[in-house]
Amino acid sequence: MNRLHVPPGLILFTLTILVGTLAAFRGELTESALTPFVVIAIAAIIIGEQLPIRLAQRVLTPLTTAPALGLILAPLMFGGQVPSAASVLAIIWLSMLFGALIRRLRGKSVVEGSLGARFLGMALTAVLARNIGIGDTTLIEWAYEDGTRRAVAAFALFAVAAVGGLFETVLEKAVIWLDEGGTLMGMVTDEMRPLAGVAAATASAGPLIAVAQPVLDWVAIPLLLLPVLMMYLAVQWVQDSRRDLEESVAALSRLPEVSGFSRTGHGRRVADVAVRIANVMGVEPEMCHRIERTALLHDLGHLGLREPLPGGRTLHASSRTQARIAETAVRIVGSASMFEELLPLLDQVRTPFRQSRELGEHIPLESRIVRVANAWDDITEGARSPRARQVALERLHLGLGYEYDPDVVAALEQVFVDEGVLVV
Amino acid sequence: MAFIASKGRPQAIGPMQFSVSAMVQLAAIPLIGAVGASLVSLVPAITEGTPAVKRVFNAAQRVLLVLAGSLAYYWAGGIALRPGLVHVDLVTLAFAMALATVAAGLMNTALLAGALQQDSGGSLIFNIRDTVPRVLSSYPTSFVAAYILVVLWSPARLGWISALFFLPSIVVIQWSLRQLAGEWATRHELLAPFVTALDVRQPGAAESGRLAAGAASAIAAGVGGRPPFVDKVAVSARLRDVGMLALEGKPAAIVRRDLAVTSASVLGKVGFLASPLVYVAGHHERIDGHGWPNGLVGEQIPLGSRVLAVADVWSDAVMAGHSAEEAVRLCESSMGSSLDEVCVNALRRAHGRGQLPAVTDG
Repeated sequence: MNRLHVPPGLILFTLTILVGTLAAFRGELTESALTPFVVIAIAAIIIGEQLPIRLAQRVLTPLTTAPALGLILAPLMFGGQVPSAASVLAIIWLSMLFGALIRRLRGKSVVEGSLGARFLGMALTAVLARNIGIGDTTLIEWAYEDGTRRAVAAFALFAVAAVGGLFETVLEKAVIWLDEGGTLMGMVTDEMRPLAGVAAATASAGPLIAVAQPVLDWVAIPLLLLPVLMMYLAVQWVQDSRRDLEESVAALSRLPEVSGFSRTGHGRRVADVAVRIANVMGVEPEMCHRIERTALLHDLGHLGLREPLPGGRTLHASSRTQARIAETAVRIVGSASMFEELLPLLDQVRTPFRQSRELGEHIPLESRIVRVANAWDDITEGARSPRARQVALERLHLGLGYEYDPDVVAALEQVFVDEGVLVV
Repeated sequence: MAFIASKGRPQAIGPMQFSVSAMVQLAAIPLIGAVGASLVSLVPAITEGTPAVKRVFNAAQRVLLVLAGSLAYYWAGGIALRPGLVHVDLVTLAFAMALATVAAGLMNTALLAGALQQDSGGSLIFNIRDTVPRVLSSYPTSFVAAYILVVLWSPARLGWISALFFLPSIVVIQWSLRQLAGEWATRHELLAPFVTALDVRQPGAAESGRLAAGAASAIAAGVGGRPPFVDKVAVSARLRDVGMLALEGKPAAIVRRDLAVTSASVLGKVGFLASPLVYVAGHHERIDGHGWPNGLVGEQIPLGSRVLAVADVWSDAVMAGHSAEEAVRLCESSMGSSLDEVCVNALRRAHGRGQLPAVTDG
């Protein structure tokens, strides 16, 4: 019998519920806590929960984190008393839960592990800033004393915000690691590149809201959230750009089909086979992406022919025809600079492997893989029966070392062995 | 900060521009006064790698903007925020800085329009009218960021450290604007392979698309369209014939009937082309209701389609060898029957101002 697998994210969320509930019980929440600054912070947290960013396997809500940090680090007074960490955390926890509930009611997903890590990171910041101190003075009390230099205080507030942020990252990465595995180094590098800017802007916005609060009161929140909002929008723009690019590549790959120059679904099938070969060969994800795009766009050059080739197959086309196809593909694809790196790959798809063996010509692996995948689809014409695949493999074997790279053909064979279609 | 800001060039996003340097210069007015702010505005001139004459010109322009902004700031009751100042009225500060922003923006507009007039010899009024939205659109962001920096620096008593803490935000703003500019450029560049593919099958299609897009942009702006609308219409003009890739060799009647639907199927599910394709779908409708595919009448036809229809007729006429003037007259002869009067009038005005594209030799 299988052991019941409890997702690590759910365990973390359960722990968060315990911490949040404890804070709600221990916190002293009276009407006096509802100052304009607190009300705006609650509203910002609830709205922020609706606007998550998905980056490098993580779910971030900078528009929640920044006002929550502002609330934790600001010089608040509830009924003439400095509130405890529990009181502030209770407000944040209830706001986050309410925000998450609204998101669920809107039919959107809530990643519990991420929400938990986020709250526990803030809880650590709150405890460091409001509960632990030197002597009788907590960090918050010291930071806003008349004799304290505000700039030094800002550094200290930023430091505790950064510690909480780091803790959040470690927790979330631990959940991903327990769930999916992977290397620690891989996770660190994943984290460094895309998230560094987001984390820095979020972590600095919180303390800035806090130090501006005595001057601007509630206006500090919307005003200092503006740069964070811009960052949020920019991340969305980047993701939109990537989606536009992928959708455009897919549409471009269909041009030979709609114009009657290649078989329906040929480009997509070649891309699928090429990616599977690449996976068996263990190529890096970046190269795999190039292989997929090269495969999708390799037939665009057919548009440069006067008449379609029989069945759209390039397998038996003359080298002159193949050169014309490659030339046209490069012309079309080369008109957009973002596809520049694909040009040599597209040009080399037509080059037989012997050019490499006999003349030492460098044929990129991407092109060699697409060449084999294209030949495979030309021979099978999309048929998936074991017989069609067997015949296609035999045909490819005939051109082994001459037309096709033996390593690539071996990887193709392995694809079907792994799928149980072929028996060695 | 001025040095860091000058490293990020103003981001051109279609007809709009953003500048972080402007934010630093605006913030400098209340913090270090008119003279100090003028000196800060000279920093980009030191770092930019343009010829000396151009650098001097740019530096003079920036100093004039800062001086205009400073005058407005002090006139509106703004005060110099010296260290140790205890009470600052934040509303007055915001008002004075907003006026300073408007004054700097107007000065910039006047200088640019004047330079354009010297360069092209066109009407100063028209130049100002064209320049105002482009220039002023960049200033609200700069104003908000400058206000935040000033508040943190002086009333919140962070001093120069506020610049350090605000640095991630500046970097973020720069990065955000770069992404926005990048996305705009990417989307436009993504159209090129589709147009080139059509040009491979039908030589001249790319040039026709360029002419139609130029005319459509001018007409769309001329009928009061905002930048996103102008952009969408220009995109639809470039892609209006892409459906021909699937209709090559088909009889004219079938092409007329199916072109719009086929364009949508050729372009597949490219999300950002959805609304331009709506304009493509309606650009063979006629104002008198005798068009296709739906026989829509007058304002039932989307404005983008009416603009595109005029640009289409004009560019086809120019491609057929007519002069730009003859092509405009051809459009005027169809005014009220197949083409929209308002759009044709906008075409006429654009022609009068020299805003329509010319045929290239190639």
